[in-house]
Parts: sequence; C-alpha cells; structure tokens
Amino acid sequence: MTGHEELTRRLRSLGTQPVPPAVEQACLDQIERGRRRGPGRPSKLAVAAMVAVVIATSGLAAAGALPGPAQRAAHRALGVVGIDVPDETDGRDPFVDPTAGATSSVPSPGSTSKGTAPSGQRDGSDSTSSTTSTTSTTTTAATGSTTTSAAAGSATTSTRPVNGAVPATPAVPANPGAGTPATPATPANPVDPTTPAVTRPVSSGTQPTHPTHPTKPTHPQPGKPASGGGA
Amino acid sequence: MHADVDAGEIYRTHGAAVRGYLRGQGVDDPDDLLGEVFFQVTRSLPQFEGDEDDLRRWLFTIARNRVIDAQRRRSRRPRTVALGSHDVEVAGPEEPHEELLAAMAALTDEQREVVALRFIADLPLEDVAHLTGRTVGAIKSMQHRALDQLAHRLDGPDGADA
Repeated sequence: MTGHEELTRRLRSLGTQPVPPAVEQACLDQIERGRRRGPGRPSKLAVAAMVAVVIATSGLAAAGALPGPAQRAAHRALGVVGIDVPDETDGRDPFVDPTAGATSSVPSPGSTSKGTAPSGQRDGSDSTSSTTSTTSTTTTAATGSTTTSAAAGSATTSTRPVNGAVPATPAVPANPGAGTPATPATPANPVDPTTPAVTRPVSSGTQPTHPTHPTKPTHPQPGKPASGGGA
Repeated sequence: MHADVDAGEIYRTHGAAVRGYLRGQGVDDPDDLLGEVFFQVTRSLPQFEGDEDDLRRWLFTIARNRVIDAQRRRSRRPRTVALGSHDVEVAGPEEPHEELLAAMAALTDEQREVVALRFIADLPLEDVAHLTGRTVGAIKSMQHRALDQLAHRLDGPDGADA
C-alpha cells in the first residue's frame, strides 16, 4: 500500500464527513418509524394476504371443493378442532360401488332391464335410464313393495317398447291387464330371499347396457326367475 | 452490547461512515438508502448481540445488503447516462470527494466494494473477506489493484498523490 497513504486518507475522510442536517433528520425519522413498527412485525399487507388465503381455503374446504388429498387433509385437520368439513369421499353416492363401474345394479323388481324380465312381461320399457330410477330402486329393493312405484316411474322413461307389451308397470300386481305382473319383486331372490335388501342393488342404472350381467352369480337379480319363464 | 443500545446512538456514531460507504458504492440515492439502513437497524436491533466490533460488522452487513438491493433495482430500470458529467464543476463542501467518487465509479464492482468496506467503512481485512465471501489474500490483491487504479485516475500515470 506504499505510496497510497494520501489516497487512503481521502477515502477514510469520505467516511467521516458530517451528514447534512436534512439527511440526518430524514434518517432519524426512519429510526422513529422503525421503532413504531416494532421488530419483525409483518406488514399489514402480508397479514391481509394471509387472512385472505385462510378464508379462501376454508371456504373451499367447507364446500368440499378442494382437490382430493387436500380435502382429506383439511377434513382431518379441522376435525381435530371440531370443525366438520366434507372428506374426500363425501358427496359421492354412498351406495354406488366405485369398483362396479361396468357392473349393473340390480334393478328394482318392477323396472325392466334387458334380459331379466320376459319380454312379454316387460312394462314396455327397457329402462335405459336411470339415474332417477337408480335412487329409487335402491330404496325399493330394500323395502320391497315400494319398489313398484319407483319402477313405474322409470317405466315412463322407456324408449324401446318391446314386443308390444303393454307399457304398464309390471311390478304392480294390481294391474292384471299388463300381462304378468313384474313379479320379480316378490320372488326377487329365490336362492336367498333375505338378501335382496343388500346394498348391491344400487347400480341398477347401468344394467341396461350390459344385458348379460344379470346372470352374475354374485348379484342376485330379482328379475331372473321371471325371465326364465317369460323368455 | 445488547438491545439496550439505541438506534439513534448507533446513527450518531456510525451514520457518517455508512453514508460515506453508500456514496462510495455509487448508489443512486445514498441519503435515501441511509434512512433504509437505519430503519432496518432499528427493527433488527433487539436481535443483535455482540460487542462494538460485531456491531460495526453487523451494521455494514445491513448496509451492504441494501446496496445489493439498490443495484438490483437499478439493473431492472433503464439506465440514464449524464452526458459530460466529468466536465461539470461541482461547487460546495463535497467537491473534493466528487472527484474521488468519480474515480471510484470507474472501478469494477468488486474493487469498489472492497475499497469502500476497507477504507470508508474502515473494516479490517478479515471482516471484508468474511462479508464478501472471499479470502484475505484475494481482498489484499483486489485492494492493491483498486488503489493503483484510483491513484492513476486521480493523479496521473505516475500515481503521485495530490
């Protein structure tokens, strides 16, 4: 550094030069501002943003609109503090077997599904449908006689009359003109009469697309016995 | 030294050095940045622990970070160049330093930082090395080259100081 003494002295003097009063006052104001703000306190904007995020996330969680894993996490986390929000699986039809996408559900005794009831006994509708009938079928299968009304309801949606059968509700035994009543309701399950109420019946809506499914041994079909005689 | 140290007292002791350091670094508005530095010092002071030397290192670490922030902000803005600025005669008490600051502006960023920390902030070599993440040898070498260049610019090729 020899030869630079004067230069370093000038440099050091730069660091000792008095601060102009206006600059000093502005700096002291900043110090006072820092004292009022406090140590490390988050700004109002940050607090507002955090509150907004919490509210939005809670709202989505309450509505069950979060993505699956997030919804489940919210369900568990909020459940700890006693707040009940839907779980990931909530909102789905609890009776629908998620693994039975292609499998048909057991139709209600009155609802005519392909291949189950004899064509002559059908209500004239291959009930292709059935979201509406699905729900009703579910309950009806369990309740037995109430099925008929549900089946009748689905009959109105029929699109393909079969064999000129009278479009009457086959499940209603009180209608003699409709041909053989869709008795399947009663003989629902010849093998085990106690099982029709099993939750399986649920997926009846998909059955029409798979006429062969009713033969599945695992899903007792109420219409089976009738088909044997009518077909 | 702990939180009982007042930020105003720190300013009275080190304010001039911090302002000189900011000016030596060539930031756009050193006086405004000085306020930012002491605002941050005031807020962070409760967490500080150390002696007088630690305080000085801590203070210039904050100042250095503010300089880096300012340089980043400046790099995002379009640059304006003052035409013929070297020919402008600046009157007033800071005139001698204007020449020095203009010479410092011609250094590389690394050289300017070393000179400002080493001589204006008056930090020892070890602290400058620690702050900049370089070895003491590298700081010595950089300092030597920087002083040579400054002398050349200020006093001519022979390097004779005024």
